Amino acid sequence: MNEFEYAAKIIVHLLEKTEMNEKDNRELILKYFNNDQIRNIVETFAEEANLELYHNVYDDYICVIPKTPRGIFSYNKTDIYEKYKLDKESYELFVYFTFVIFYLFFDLNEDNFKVEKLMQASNEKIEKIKSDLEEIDINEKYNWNFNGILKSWEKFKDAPGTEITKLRANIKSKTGILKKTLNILHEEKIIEFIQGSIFAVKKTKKTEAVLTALKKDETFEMLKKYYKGEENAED
Amino acid sequence: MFESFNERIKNIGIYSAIYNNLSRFRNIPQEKSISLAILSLTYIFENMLTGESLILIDDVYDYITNIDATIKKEDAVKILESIIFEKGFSGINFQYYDYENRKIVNLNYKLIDITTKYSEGSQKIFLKLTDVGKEFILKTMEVYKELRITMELLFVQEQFKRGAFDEVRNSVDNLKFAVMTKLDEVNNLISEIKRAPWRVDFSYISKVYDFTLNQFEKEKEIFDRIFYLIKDIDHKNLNEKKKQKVTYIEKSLYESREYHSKLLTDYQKIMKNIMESGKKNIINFIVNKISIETKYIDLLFRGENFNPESMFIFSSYKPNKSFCFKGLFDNPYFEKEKHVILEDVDDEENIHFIETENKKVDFLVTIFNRMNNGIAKLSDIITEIEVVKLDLIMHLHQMKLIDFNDSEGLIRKAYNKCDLNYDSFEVKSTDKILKYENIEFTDFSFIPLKDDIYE
Repeated sequence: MNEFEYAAKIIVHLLEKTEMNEKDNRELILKYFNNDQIRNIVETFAEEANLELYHNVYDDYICVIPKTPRGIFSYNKTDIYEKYKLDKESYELFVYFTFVIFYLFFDLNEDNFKVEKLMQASNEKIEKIKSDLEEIDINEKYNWNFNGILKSWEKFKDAPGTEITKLRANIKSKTGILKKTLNILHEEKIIEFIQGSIFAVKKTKKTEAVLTALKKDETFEMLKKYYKGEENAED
Repeated sequence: MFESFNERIKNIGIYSAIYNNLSRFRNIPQEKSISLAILSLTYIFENMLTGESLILIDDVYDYITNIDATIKKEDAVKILESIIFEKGFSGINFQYYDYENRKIVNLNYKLIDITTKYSEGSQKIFLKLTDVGKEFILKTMEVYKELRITMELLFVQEQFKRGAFDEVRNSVDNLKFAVMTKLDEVNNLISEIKRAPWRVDFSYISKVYDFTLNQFEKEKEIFDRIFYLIKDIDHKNLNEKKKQKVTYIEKSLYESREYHSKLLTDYQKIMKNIMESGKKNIINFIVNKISIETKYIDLLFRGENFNPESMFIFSSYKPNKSFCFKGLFDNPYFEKEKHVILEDVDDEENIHFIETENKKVDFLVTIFNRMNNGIAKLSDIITEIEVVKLDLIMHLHQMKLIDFNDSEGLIRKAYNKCDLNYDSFEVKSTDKILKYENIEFTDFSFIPLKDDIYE
């Protein structure tokens, strides 16, 4: 095989699986990291296909993340609704929980946490929004629809205290959506359950790739700063 | 069977002789002595390539002791001696039994010549590789054939210095031949990369590319040095015959230098061609892998920039979708303002762009209006196919569901020109194959949807 065939194999694997590690194909991974030409071709393809290419030489890991939600490689809202049985409101809560998960991984530099901590952090952020809204219109200040997330949050009932430690939860409750969020992210290999249990989660190699991509996302950075209480988060 | 035996054993014997002679030291580990000996030969060789015909033995000792601080000068002397002498005689030996002639044969390999010269007030020892030494070191280099021009140039330079014009005359012919052969090779390689890249040994190119390019630069310098030598010739002291020879040599060298300059330029094109061919090659490979009917490919990529997403439209293969995190957390309170940046655009290009865009908008208006009467088929709308239209249909098909409330760009423009009784529409491919001239493609259906249906 020549360089182009190796590169094409890597690209096809990435398009099919979105990620590739040493276990999947040691030969291709070694070729990718040791041959500049192969790496250049894969990078060129990723660039043209609007894919963010992430690689970590220490973990022998490569993955692609769509740069645009409009492309063929990316879920659009309809795909997510259909695949994960979400509607407009549960989707908003799913996005909120996803944000909090990345916030914990990213900003607090946590590699793993218990699901109770996630729920606690989510509650704290909602409380912060409520209290800030009493003083100032943060929607206008940050041009972000905090009211919208409050509305969705309040539509879902609070779970009984014990529900968070149970495997199943009512889908109409906040805990139910939180567990659904964890299951979705687990299926997408963005998080891993510690010892197979949903009650504690940890980072995967793909989490690092997503966190790297999120560093370039202005909205994520703005929200992160806001929740941390940093001044001028809107800058 | 015995015909090539002696030649083969002669080639193998040299390795054995070197190994035997370098594995006899008590205080130098064998693995180090072998490495240092080969490095010393390479050092002498590389110095010779830069035009030094003789290398001072002390420089080689310094080279060895600089590489490995644990090796003392007396050890360096032993290492070097063991590839120059054996049992007090010049050359190193290898014995084998010749079954053809039924006798033991002794082979003696002289890798290095020793010369003494009076220099800087004292007698000094200089080394140079013999032909056997050069051949040995070249055989161990993957880039052997990349050095042919350099070797010819060095011959010309040396012969010039000695004033051996007859020999120079032969050498410049060899040089010209070597340069032209290499130029042919490079041009054949470029056309092969363009025409049949799967036949090209890319791993070899990547190994020798930088080396060869660097070597061409060095050769340019040797050319300059030779021309400097020619300028120094005092023509008054030459007889007519010699003058003619020098004129011939000069002319031939100029021609070789011209070809050599072209060689350097063409060689630099190799990488550019590899990248271009790589793009085509990769498309072909992926296309095969995902079984796109190749008849679509030319049409899809003709005159358009490569769009990796387009290739999936006609394929049964679908890439795995994943979350795009960019924009996932966007939830603006105010509608986003659209920033328009005005840039200078070439008028002709601009006119072409506007024409194409208008054509696309008109085509969309036709489709949208048809959908007021229910499901519309592409085959009912078009009478001829154009790349612009096909490209647009593929784009719509990629979007699958188009909601006018979220629409922008061309779709919004077309929507504003219509009065529609539906809010969104879906694009689906059908089993029907359409044929226009020599082009075949799938028919598509456009299905109008109302808000209450898809929400």
